[in-house]
Amino acid sequence: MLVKQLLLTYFGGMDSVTSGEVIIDGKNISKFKKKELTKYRREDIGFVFQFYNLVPNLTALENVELATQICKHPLNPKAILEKVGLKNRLKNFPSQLSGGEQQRVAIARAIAKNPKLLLCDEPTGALDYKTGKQILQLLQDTCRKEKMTVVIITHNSALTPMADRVIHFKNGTAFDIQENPNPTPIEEIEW
Amino acid sequence: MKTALIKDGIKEIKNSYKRFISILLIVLLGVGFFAGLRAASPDMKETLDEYFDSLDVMDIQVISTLGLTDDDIEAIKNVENVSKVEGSYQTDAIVSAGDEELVVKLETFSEEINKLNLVEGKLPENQNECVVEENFLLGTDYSIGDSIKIEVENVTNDDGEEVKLLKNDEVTIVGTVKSPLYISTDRGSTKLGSGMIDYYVYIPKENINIDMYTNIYITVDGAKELNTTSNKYEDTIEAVQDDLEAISEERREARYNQLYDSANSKIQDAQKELDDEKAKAEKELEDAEKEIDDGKKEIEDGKAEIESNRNIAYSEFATAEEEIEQGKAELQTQKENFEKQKADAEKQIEEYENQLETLKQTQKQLNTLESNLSLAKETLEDLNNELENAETEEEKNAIQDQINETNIKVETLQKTIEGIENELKNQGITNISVTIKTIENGIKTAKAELASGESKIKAAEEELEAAEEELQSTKNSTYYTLNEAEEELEKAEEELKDGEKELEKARKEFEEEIEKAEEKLLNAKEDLKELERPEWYVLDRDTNTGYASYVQDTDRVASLAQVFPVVFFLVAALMSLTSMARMVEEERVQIGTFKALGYGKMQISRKYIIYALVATVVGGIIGIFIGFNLIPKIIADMYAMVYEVPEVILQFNWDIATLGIVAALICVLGSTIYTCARQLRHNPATLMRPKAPKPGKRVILEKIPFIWKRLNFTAKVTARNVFRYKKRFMMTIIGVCGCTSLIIAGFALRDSISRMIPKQYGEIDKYNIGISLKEENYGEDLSKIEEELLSHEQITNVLSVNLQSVKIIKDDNNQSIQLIVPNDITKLNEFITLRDRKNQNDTYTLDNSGVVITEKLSQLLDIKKGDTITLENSDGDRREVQVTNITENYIMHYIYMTPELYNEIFDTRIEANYVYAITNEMAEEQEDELGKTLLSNSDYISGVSFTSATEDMFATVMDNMDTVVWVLIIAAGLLALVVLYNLLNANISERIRELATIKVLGFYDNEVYSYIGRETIILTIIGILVGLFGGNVLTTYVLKTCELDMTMFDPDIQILSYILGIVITVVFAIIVNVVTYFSLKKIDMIESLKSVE
Repeated sequence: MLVKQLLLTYFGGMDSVTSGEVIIDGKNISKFKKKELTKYRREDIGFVFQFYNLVPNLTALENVELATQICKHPLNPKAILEKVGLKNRLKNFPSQLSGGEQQRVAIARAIAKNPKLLLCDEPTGALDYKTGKQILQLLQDTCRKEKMTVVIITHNSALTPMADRVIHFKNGTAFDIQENPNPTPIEEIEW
Repeated sequence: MKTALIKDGIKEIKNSYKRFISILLIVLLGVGFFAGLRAASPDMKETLDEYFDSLDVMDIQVISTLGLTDDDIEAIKNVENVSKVEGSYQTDAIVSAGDEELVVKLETFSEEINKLNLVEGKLPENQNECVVEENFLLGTDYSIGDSIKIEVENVTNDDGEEVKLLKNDEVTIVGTVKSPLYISTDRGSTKLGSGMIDYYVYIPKENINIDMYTNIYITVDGAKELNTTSNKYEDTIEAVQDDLEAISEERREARYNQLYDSANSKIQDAQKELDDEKAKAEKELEDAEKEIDDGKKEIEDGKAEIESNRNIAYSEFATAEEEIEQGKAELQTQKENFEKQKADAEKQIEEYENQLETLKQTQKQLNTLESNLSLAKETLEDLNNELENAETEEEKNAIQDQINETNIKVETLQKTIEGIENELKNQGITNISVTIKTIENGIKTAKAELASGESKIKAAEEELEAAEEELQSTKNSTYYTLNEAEEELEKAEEELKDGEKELEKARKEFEEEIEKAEEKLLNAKEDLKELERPEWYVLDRDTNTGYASYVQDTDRVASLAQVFPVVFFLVAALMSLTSMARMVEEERVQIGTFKALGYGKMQISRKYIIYALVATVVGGIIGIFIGFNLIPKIIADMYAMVYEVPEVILQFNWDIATLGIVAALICVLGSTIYTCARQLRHNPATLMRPKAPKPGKRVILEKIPFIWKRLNFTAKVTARNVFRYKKRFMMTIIGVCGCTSLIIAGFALRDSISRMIPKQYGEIDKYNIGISLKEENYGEDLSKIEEELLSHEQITNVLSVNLQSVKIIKDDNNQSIQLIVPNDITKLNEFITLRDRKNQNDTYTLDNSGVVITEKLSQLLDIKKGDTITLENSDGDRREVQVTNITENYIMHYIYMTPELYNEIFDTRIEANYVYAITNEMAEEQEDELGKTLLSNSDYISGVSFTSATEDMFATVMDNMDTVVWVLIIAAGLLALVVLYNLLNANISERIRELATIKVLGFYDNEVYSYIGRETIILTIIGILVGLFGGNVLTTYVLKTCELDMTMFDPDIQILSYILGIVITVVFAIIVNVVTYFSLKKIDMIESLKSVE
């Protein structure tokens, strides 16, 4: 399995590690039982998938609501969608949205849960350059404005300058952690 | 390459064994049900055919309106293709079984055609023996070896004489048989008894007293080899039937002539005899009449004679009386004359007598003088004498002195005398004596004359008196004689009158007799004139009730087979469509790759086609074997309760097997090819790209904001999903609906049949015993019979009715119907409930405006309330009558009528022949006991039947119904399982990404389950709701198809059947959902991270 997937699996609480510990926000989630893990995913984690994973049968708004309905302190789905710039797309189905719009819905869905941690799996992987940038901007804005921890997991090292902290993995181990005191604005990043 | 593909295929099956098995199972179910149901009818027909062949059952029978003869048999034998011919005599008879009277069908048996299936004992070997049907011994106390008495009506033989039908009417039961001619429990109806035939009895031909047959049975060459229900058989038989029709004309003519001649010569003889008798009698009468006329004349003459005699007598008497009167008058004058004369005469006589007195004194003086003279003379003489004589003179002196003295004296005396005599002479009297004498004589004469006159008068008087007396006596005697003669005449006249009366009577009698004889003769002549050319009925097996209804029933099964499997095939098609579509879609990229590599469409499709083919063929073959062996047996077993046929022959029917598999292949392969073709239309590049997910769509509900807004989020999601996958939607609904319908139908069928009996014998027929009476004309005694029945402590209530077999004349309806005419209409509802089935509180009472008929009858003949029907009673009289109501009833057909109405329309007086009785609760032994007591203690009861016996019989039916229900439930359950499992399987694998995603989103397991399970539940609920309706329709169809003409299944489905249908479907759904829950739990969230393929 790819490290990327492993990271997502363990950070995201999809599975428990067989050995070692995963400590998130001071909690050792590797000791969590299945139900606790589900609770953790539910309340603490926001997930942004590479392929958006929107429910095709639900409208943009409904896709967000799908997530908020199970949370304790969700944000207003409509407000979030407005924030991500989809004010006029609330009632559109995913198939009626462009890739960028879909990813925005996905991000809105993750944010709306009001999670402690936003895990993004290659959020621009399926998007064109321009849309990718917009999404990254959105994620950065979310991070800054909502004071939300955003973790972007990507093979695209071109994105590293925009991050506050970059952890490099190779062959299954983190070999470098680098702090970015002054992250490059997204507009300046090229790939 | 080929092997690679096969390997790929096998691997595919291994990998997706669930899908493979579900396709296989649905095909198995579909094909199994189809094959089994389809095979049931041919299997049953084959069984019947084999059975009939083994007993050489007739192919054709000929019935003639005037009977059939050996000549007919000979003629038929010469018809082409006729194999065997056999004559038989058939009639209805009464068998007295102990105190019971049974109505039986009596027939002669043959060892050539219509052989009997011997169950026990042996076949009769002589005319004193008989065999009975198996049930006969079960239904009565008889066993083999017992003898029975058969009562049959006398018959007219060919010579026109009335003779006994049987040579021997007391026969011994030597065995029990099953007759192929009576495979159904229906033995037909009859005019005897209560109208129903109870059993059949076979006797040898030798026991029949006349040379005539009622039926001729024929088998046809080559017919045995053909199935009796096949068209070829029909054609073969029809050809022979036509030939028989062709010769029938000649045979009918011959029979007609035979009977005509025989009757005609009889009539001639009778005519002659009549004429002779008439002439003779007329002559006799004439003689008698003449005699009477003579007598009359004699009397007239007599009367005239008497009259004339009387007249003569009258005139004679008158003359005589006149004469007497004259005489009397004459006599009177004579008397008067005589009185005058008498007075004169008496005066004279007095004179004479005075004269005479004087004379007599004179004479006396004379006489004394004379005597003194004489004396003196004498003395002188004496003295003279003495003187002469004297001797002495003294003495002579003395004497002389004395003589002187005396002379002086004499002289004196003579002087005196002379004086006197002179005196007398002066007086004219010369001789005194003579004068005296003359006077005396004169007196005497006068006196005599007087006396004679007196006596003459007296004599005349006497004579007159005598004459008068005589006349009177003559008168009397004459009148007496006359009167007597008259009386005699009168007597004679009376006698004559009696004679005349007698003659009149005799004449009347004679006339009557002659009239009778003439009428008889006329009737005979009329009959002869009316003697129609006999009609021949050349009938095939279809006219045998048992055979026809069996074939009809198998056809019903066949029509069931048309409907049931459709559900399965439909589901199979839909399921393979979704399954294969998913499979093909899952391998979209692979297909694209193959296509890019240059494989042809066929080659790529082959894998999927083979996959489907294997699943279908394997499932189909298993299905066929299970179906062929299980279903026909169950169905045949059910019918075995009503029909006496051997164990069903299970045969492998290639046509059905092929048809079933081909149908399955069309469904499954068709849908496979369709999906493959759809996929392969795209070019490889498109195929290798992930398929664009099906766009979301607004559902109808959203257009109704009123509802949509009220739905919570999950409900909305579910609603969307439900409507998103149309195929799955349809499949689930059809599957679940099919499941529910089947279960409902199963339970409803069972329920309906199980309710039929308690309803019929508990709610509708409330009586417990039916008692048939020996005769109909008990009249006043009926109340005594009722009282006697009521004296049994178990019997609490009785109702006398007239029960008879009637017909309704409509189309060519052949339903056997019983007419019930209760004596006491007010009591009827205590025994039989007449009510509307749908509104059971709406009970009917009989009135004189019309009849009440039972529901099934109204359905069969399409009769509605208010319609007018033509009723034919058991005497064959037809009358029109109105139907006032239609009443609930489940077994047999009845018509209810008031006695007044019956009497009015049939113009007769109906009498009870049957009694219904209500008893207390009784155990079986008690019932037997009561039955026996009733039969043995009474002279008027001919049969006793308890309704509980019928109830018991149906208990067995119920056991078999349970099997049917189980088969239906298992089939339904399998259907539901396969469909629901397939649906969920498809749902999961198709939406695995979505499910993984929501898991990642933090849905708990049960939330994940309900996210998807809710759809299943909704679909299941919709399916069930549709199924409730479908169950209703299916049940109605199945009930209508299954029910016999004679019975009606209660079409009302009980709520319980619906509930069971729902519950059992839900249970299957839950099973599937539990499985789903666990497979959902197993879904790896990593799936969400995978790229879209």
